Amino acid sequence: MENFKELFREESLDILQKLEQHLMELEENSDDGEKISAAFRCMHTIKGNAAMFGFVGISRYAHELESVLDGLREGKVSVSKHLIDLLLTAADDIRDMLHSNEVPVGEQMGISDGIIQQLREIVGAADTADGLYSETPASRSSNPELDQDHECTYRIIFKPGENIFLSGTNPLLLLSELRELGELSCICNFKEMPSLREIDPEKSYVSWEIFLTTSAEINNIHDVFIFVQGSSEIAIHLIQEGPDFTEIDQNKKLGEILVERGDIDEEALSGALHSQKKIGELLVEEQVLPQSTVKAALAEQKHVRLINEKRGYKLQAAHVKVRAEKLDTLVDLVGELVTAQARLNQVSSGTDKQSLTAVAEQMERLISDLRDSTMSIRMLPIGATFNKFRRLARDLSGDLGKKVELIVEGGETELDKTVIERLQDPLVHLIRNCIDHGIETSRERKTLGKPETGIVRLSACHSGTSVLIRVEDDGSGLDREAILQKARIKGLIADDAHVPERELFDLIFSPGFSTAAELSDVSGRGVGMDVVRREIESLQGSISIASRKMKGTCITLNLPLTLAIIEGLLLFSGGQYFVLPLSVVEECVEFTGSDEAEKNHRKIVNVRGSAMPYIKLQDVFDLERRHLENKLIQQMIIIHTTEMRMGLVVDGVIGNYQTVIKPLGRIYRNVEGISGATILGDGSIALILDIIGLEKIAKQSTYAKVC
Amino acid sequence: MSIKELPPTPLCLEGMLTIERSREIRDLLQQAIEEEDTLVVDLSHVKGIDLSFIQLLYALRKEAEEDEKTVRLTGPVQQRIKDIFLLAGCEDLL
Repeated sequence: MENFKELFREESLDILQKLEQHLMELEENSDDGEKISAAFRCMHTIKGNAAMFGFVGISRYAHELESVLDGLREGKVSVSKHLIDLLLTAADDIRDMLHSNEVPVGEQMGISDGIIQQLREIVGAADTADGLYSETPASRSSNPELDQDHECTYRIIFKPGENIFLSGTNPLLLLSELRELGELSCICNFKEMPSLREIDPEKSYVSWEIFLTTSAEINNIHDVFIFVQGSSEIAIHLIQEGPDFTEIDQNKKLGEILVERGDIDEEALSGALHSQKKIGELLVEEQVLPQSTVKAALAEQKHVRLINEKRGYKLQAAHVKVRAEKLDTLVDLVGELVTAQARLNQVSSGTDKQSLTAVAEQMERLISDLRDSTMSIRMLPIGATFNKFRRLARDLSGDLGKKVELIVEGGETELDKTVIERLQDPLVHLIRNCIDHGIETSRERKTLGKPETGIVRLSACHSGTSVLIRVEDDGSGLDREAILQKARIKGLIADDAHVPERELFDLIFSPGFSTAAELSDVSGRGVGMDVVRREIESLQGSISIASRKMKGTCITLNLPLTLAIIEGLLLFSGGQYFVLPLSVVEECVEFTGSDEAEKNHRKIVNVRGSAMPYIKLQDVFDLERRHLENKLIQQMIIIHTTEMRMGLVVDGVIGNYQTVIKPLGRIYRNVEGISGATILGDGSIALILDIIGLEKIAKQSTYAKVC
Repeated sequence: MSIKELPPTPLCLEGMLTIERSREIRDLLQQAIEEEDTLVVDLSHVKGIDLSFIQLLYALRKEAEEDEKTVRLTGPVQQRIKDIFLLAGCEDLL
């Protein structure tokens, strides 16, 4: 039972997320009926599920909210900021209740009651029934006064999805719910029924054509099918307003089609209808229509059904909820497989056995595909996370009295699931900073000639093996003077030191650094940015800031695509193996002593007419140059980083290598230029080079030996 | 009396004829329709039914038609069982 409760909780949190989105979209577009209905359905589902799993408090709360949404749906209540605020607060409330696992008592109940009270006032002003708490949908719809003036007749086609029994639904109960709405007669269509020996007793093959005369609203009819509408076919047509309806035979369906197609007219149809025979046969017999026309119409009928069935199949969307630990285990196993395959490769390349080599090659291809598939399972688009921040932006801008619009780009960019989860807090902090410190008040912006509404832009894109996430605002930009001042006060820089901009902005990441004059509830405590940077770096990423006074600030997060397996290039230098991510490698050229040159203490090399900086791996890592005299010709690998192209000089390049990244211990975390290690086929270790670190080294005016 | 003149032995269905037993019921009906030319299904001891059973009855009828056999339902059927047939719009089965 606990498992189901957990599932319910997860699902409800998902639904609340969607509900929030709908509500905020509704705020922008207050007459979007689709959004209102969608929000209503969210609430309805939560209410039903909560009741099923014993969360009585949540169910009752949801019921109140459902009433309000129903009022919205019927146009009795109109959208207003106040209402949306209330509904959003209520959604938060329910979220808390879900996390705390209990019906709230005491103070929490008081707050909820307060919200319910306000909601009821809004709804009450629109004149709905009282005693909301005790109502259930069944009782609300039973015995509606059959108001003769407002009665309508509907034709409802209901075809339950074939797996409806497996979901525990009893379609007959739905029929009886419909009966409670008014006068009902129905025809059971069992044309699809297979014979006894062919039938799958647990599947549904029937459908109904139902005629319902009721004074209830069409939405009440839709509500009856609310839990099955995803998997069943439901069509509701208004036939006529008014209480009369005539007995209609199944055969009319074909007749209708014939009339629609213009094959016959109404008169001929009703003439034939008075007989007992099948309309198709009749029309052919009476020579009103040729056999082929009837066949064609029948085919259309069948065809439409077939299409609907197929559509029904596809609607069974292929989504599976999987626990993260299972995925992790899978990834680990794939990693081991990759390593084992490397060993196999080594063994096979050392033998002459053709058959072994062939199999080893095939294994390599298969494992490469498996690796890609597995990695992609863990990848999720970041859009969902970005969209969560809309709520944050809305609330913050309300709290701070600023007008802010959140723009999201590149939501389809995919990242590893764990990376996304760990990015949440840092992103929240960055967005808060933008809105709190960056964006000016509307009045200030007007004076500066900027549009009143400030913009915060969240964007994500792929770049090589990295993902770049940017948080930009068009606000006032970082205040260099204030930072300089604060840094001097804190003793981080000497009073007279000249600090280049980049390093200056870097200071913001120092613990406890904040130029905010006052601590606000939102930010200013100065505990944020250093934590943000640490979190990003622990994800093997990096963070950088760019800013222009009066124009705005842009914070860029650079994160690796995956933390597990990458396609690499195996190198060796000075007797040590290294791996370079293949995605940054452009080409490989020969490098001899004559290519060496220096400019401003930086090593520069000339490649086909353009100059680029280079570094020698053996110098960077202080490696022994064994066999120095033999190695006159070395290899230089030209790589591109996000900012530049550079050369990496090594003793030799071995080839492509599927690299299973193993993290280095904490001791090695600060070693610049290395981001991990991998185990080679023969058991030896290759160090994985960190591009960002190498880039830094290349840019330094002189580089010291780094160990 | 020759065998052909003996009245057919009714197949007595009892208890709850619902989805949990639908496979079992189908097999019972299948066997019965194979053995007899006229199958009489006695529903007087049925406590409850659902849509899956109604479906099986339709399927049985179809099978009988295909094999040119006859199927009859007999009772007395409890009113609330009849109501379910009515609700589903399947009173033509009875």
